[in-house]
Amino acid sequence: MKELLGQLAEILEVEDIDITKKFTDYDEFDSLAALTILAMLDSDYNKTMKTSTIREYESIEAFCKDVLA
Amino acid sequence: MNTTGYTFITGATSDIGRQICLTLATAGHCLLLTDISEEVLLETKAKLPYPERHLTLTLDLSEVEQAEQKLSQYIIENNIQVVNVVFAAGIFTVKPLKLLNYAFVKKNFDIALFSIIALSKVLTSKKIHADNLQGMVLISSVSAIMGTKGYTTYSAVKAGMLGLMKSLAVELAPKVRVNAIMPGGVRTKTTNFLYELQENSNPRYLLGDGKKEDIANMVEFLLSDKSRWITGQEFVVDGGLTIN
Repeated sequence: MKELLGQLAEILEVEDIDITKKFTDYDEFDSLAALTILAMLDSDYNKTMKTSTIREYESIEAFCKDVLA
Repeated sequence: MNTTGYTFITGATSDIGRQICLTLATAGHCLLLTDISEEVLLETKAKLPYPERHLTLTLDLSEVEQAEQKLSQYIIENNIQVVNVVFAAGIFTVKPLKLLNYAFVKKNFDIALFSIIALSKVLTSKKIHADNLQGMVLISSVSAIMGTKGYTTYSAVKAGMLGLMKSLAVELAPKVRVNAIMPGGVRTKTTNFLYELQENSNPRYLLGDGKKEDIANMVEFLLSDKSRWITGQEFVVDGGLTIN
């Protein structure tokens, strides 16, 4: 999970990710950030997701659990 | 001596690469397939018509000098003639400017652009090869002429291919015809994640969604005698995207 959080922190341009927050709580989360996350999921985790799904996660923690499941 | 004339294809195991192999093999070409994984190459070859006619060679195009050396060695040792080449290898990913670093950008350029120069050198060298090359097709993209967020590296590589193609066409004429295809977005394993975004087809594609075959058919045409008076050209195959 640490590696995934590191990647997300880089995309969202923050030092640390607060896993209790939603993606939409971050200012840097825009359509390009969402697309970058999708591309990363596809290339590094072999997962496909819709941007709407990413947006709807109650918390980043829940998202990470699904990705790493 | 092997007197067969081969069509050499890089990126042969990607979705579009496989389709190009299938279309060309069906049209009677004997292929020399290359990509990074031997296992996937053999699997791709096994699914082609007359698999025994085709050859495979593993090349890691991110190591340009090694790939150049390996190809020339392979050609010399097996004494084969390459008459056509299709450069279909490349990386596609979406990355905003802030996430780019030199290593990533260099890898993209090595695989999809610099390797073309190195491998073309081998295929047109009289010392290594009987110099029988006739046709060359580069798979560029409409991203060479259209801007998209997160595509900076991809656009730069694909635009670079167009410039390279034109100078190669002049330098290698009249023996070799060199052309580029600029596909619009085609849903493949590599681009599938982009299509998860939308429920419906993108209305900017006037002719609806494109297929891998649409690209492969153009490759077949550009390597055939039917295009004998065409060289140094860019062919947009995009269902009308760029004019809409």
